[in-house]
Amino acid sequence: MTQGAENTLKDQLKVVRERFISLLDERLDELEMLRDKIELGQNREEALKQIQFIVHKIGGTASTLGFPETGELAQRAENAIIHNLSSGGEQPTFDDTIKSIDAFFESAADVSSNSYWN
Amino acid sequence: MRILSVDDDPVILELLVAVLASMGKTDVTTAESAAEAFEIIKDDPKPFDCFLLDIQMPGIDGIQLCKSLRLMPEYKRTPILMITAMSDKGYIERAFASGATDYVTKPFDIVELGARIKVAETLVDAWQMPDAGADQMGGYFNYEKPYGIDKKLSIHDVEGVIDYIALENYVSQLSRGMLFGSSVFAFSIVEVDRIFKSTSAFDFEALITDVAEAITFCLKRTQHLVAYAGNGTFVCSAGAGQKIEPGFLKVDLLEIINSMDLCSSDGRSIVFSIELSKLVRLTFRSNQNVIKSLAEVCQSARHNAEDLLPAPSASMLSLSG
Repeated sequence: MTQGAENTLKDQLKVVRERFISLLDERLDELEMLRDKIELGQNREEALKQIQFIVHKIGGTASTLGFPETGELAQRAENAIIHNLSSGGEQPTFDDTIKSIDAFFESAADVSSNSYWN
Repeated sequence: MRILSVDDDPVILELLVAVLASMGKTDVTTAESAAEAFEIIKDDPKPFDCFLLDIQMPGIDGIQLCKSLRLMPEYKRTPILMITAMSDKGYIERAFASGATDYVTKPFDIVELGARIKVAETLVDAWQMPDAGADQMGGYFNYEKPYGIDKKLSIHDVEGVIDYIALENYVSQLSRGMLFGSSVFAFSIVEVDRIFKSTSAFDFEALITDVAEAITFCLKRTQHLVAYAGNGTFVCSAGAGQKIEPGFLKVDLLEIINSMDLCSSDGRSIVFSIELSKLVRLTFRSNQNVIKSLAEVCQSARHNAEDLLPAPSASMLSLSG
């Protein structure tokens, strides 16, 4: 790739990164709502499936756009949900699955708030 | 190169547009669902040269979309790259079996994505060459063919049969991950040279398709993918832990082929034998060695088939009126 093309790509990735962050805010709001549902014991399985869908999307782009830790945690949370749902809540346990989701949530919230202040 | 990219995540679509633009590919159309993609394809009079499809989408997923595209005559051979966040063998095999040419995993490495697009572009260029397809040539029903015996013909509409390059992509990606234990082997038609010279392009391609069909029927109990490697040779990959009994396989295959009563379009029956290669396990092989293994089994099958040439028998090829 030529220097010019590389610079153009960098500029374009900056725009995509901003779009990612603005969508991340919306997705975190949605996640928070689903997390509350789980706390209240409302249709946990469905809430987990919806969380899986959201973390799947974030995990698909976070690393490429410069947020490797968030991307990694999103993938771990997705795997935990998949295995929890397919093992009937046994492996990993529901509590461990929630821990994975929360670890991701914390990292994604950091990305979101840091970008707000930068 | 005209590209249609389909993903339900707008961030991925924007990312793809940016990466492709940096490679000089600016003719990129995007769709957020399979339904939208169908609309675009229907309304756009100019066909696309390449597709990038996300696997996991709500509604019609990428695998179903890939299958539908392959049913459209204008997209039978167009490169289709699957973009997936799941390195799950089940999805990947299904994607290839549905006609995908290659796949990239999300989150993707921009350099690797670029390399994959370049491979797709090479395919598009090759297929746009004037001698690319027999159907574009006058000699389709003559013995003179617009291609050589070594051409890796594309076989359409046989489930589990993919292009040779797609099989190379598939096995090489297996080696990158943790999916060891698969094996490869090949079948070769004895005296294919004589069949090639004494049949029209149409009959030869029909024969190759029939043999491919017989092979997939034989392998129906195993997870498999088959590709035609040219020179009357078919290469097969079987999933990890699949038990392959080469001796039984050959007998089964010959029985199925015999029961098909294959004929050329002028009514001559085509009788021939098939030889099998050694079986090569892919365990612990590097990316390049996995691709070499495909060539190795093809060579082994050819070698076994050619060994039979000096002493033709009743079970071997004859073309009789």
